[in-house]
Amino acid sequence: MPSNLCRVGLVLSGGGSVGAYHIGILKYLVEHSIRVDALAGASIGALNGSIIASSSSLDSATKKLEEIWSLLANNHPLEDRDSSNIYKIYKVLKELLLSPNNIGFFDDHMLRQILKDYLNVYNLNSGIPFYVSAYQSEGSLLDISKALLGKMNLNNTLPSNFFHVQSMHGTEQINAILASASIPLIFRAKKIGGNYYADGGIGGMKSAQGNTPITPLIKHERCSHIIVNHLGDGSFWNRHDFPETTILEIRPGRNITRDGLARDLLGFKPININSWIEQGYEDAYRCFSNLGSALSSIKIADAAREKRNLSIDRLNDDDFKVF
Amino acid sequence: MTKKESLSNSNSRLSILTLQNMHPQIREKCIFDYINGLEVLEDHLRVRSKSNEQFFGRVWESITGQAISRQQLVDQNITTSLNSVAIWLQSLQLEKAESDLAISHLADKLLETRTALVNQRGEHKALADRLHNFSLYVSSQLSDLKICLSNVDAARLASSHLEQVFDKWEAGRLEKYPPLIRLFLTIDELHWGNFGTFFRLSQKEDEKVRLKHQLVDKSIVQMKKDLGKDLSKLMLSQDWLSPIHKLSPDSKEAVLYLSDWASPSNEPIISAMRYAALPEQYFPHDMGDFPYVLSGRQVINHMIYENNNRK
Repeated sequence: MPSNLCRVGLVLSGGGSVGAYHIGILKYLVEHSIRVDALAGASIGALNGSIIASSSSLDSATKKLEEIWSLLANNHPLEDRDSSNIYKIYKVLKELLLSPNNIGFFDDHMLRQILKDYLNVYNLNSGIPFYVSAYQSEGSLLDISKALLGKMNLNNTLPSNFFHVQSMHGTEQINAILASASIPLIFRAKKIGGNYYADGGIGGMKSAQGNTPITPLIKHERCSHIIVNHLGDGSFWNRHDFPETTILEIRPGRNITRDGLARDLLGFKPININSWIEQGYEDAYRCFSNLGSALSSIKIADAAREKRNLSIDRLNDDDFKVF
Repeated sequence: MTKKESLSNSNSRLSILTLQNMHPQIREKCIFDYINGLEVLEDHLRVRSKSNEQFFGRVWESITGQAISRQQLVDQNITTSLNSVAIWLQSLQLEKAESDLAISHLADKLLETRTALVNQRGEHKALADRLHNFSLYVSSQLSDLKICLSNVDAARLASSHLEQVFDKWEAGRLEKYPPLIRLFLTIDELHWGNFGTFFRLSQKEDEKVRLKHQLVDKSIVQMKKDLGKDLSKLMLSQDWLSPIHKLSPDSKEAVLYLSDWASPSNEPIISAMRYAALPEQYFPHDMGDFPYVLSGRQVINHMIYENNNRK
């Protein structure tokens, strides 16, 4: 059982193309030699997280992710330039008619290719513990409806499940990672075990339970300190639901939304990607620095008190006497 | 009363013992919740401010209940931050009290040290006085010792000088001079050397008397050899002085120089000798009550006496 003494976890939340923000955070962590002992991701956080967990270091992970996102900026993962419009309409109708419960209007082959090119399975299985969140699908249309209602705070969705990737084998690992990023209607839900799973960000919408998969890092990995990031403005996720854990939330210091919720989710615009990477670093710097100043002043005060007590003890123990 | 007891007696809600029982991780969590909680608050306030700018935004947030949820989160974070600050402030207050007690303790120690120093100063002064007196005593003893040593040495040097000067006379180094001049030169040389210094400076009268007798005896012995006769026999003053006329001008000059201190009233023999050396070759009968005859002993005794009275 891992020790509870200063074990650091990192939660990468979902948010589509805003996921480039994670690179900025990683850059800050690398710069300040902050280690990560366990990792959990939802949606784009699961995809980014899989690269991190399968890299030899955070530094090499950052470099790989920069390459990947540069590729995504120049080659939209949902764009199908090769097919004609008629073919695209045919595909939509085919999905609706042939698999109405599991609809995916887009192919995830680009994401699969990226994982194939950049994810080292051997390193992943011997690397830091990695969890992904995925939502047990009730059918694509129902999933998306519930997600929208949850987003409007009119209903809450069921909680997402968390999967320990290293406990899975073969294609199931890739399926779990891709399942976490399978936005209903965009990509088909993936089969894990006997059930189908979709985007983890859908689960527990009201409190962003699925989109902020901290639970396995507390429950299974016993992380004492967890860094949580949010890819949206004013996330309703509440740190006080986890009173036993020391949490650092990296919250946006300025609006993270660029072109609107939907466009940001699926946009992958190069200019936005670069600005999110920059903002990720900026927000990490601000949040860590403010905390660092307070903690270092306490450390200095503790050391000074220790020194004072030591000096007084020496003074009391000397042989000085007044006759 | 120990520091801990005195602090427990104060009416603070959190005692040091309670704080000491808190794990450092809990205190660290308080800081995280407070400082990072402000980031959460700022995020929510920024979003709320933006949505409040537009009518539809406000309506939407109200309808969906997001406004209330957001407000609850804001309130919860504020409450947590305030609680953390309260604990932190209490902790700081108690640490300040602990510091004040430490300062008070140091002040007590300082007073103790100062009291000891004052006592020490008194003892030190007494010791310094005793040391000073001892130093004076040792100094005077050393001074006396030096004088004793000096005297011992001075007497030895005077005696050695006496031997040396008479060895010179006996060796014939004063051959060219008549006996009276030989005697004068010998006594004059003794006056200017260790022998004379001893007589001027020493307090040892017995030693001076011994040396004086030795001088007289040696002078008698040597004069007897030079004159070849008994010194108790009287000789004409002329016989004593006329050989001086025959001295070379240089020798006469030397005698005049060496005897220029003598006065006829106080030093008649030396003055007569001096006048005999003048170019005019005065004779002592021209000087009044100068005796016509003198024995060797008389000459020796007079010359030694006249030289003794020299200033």
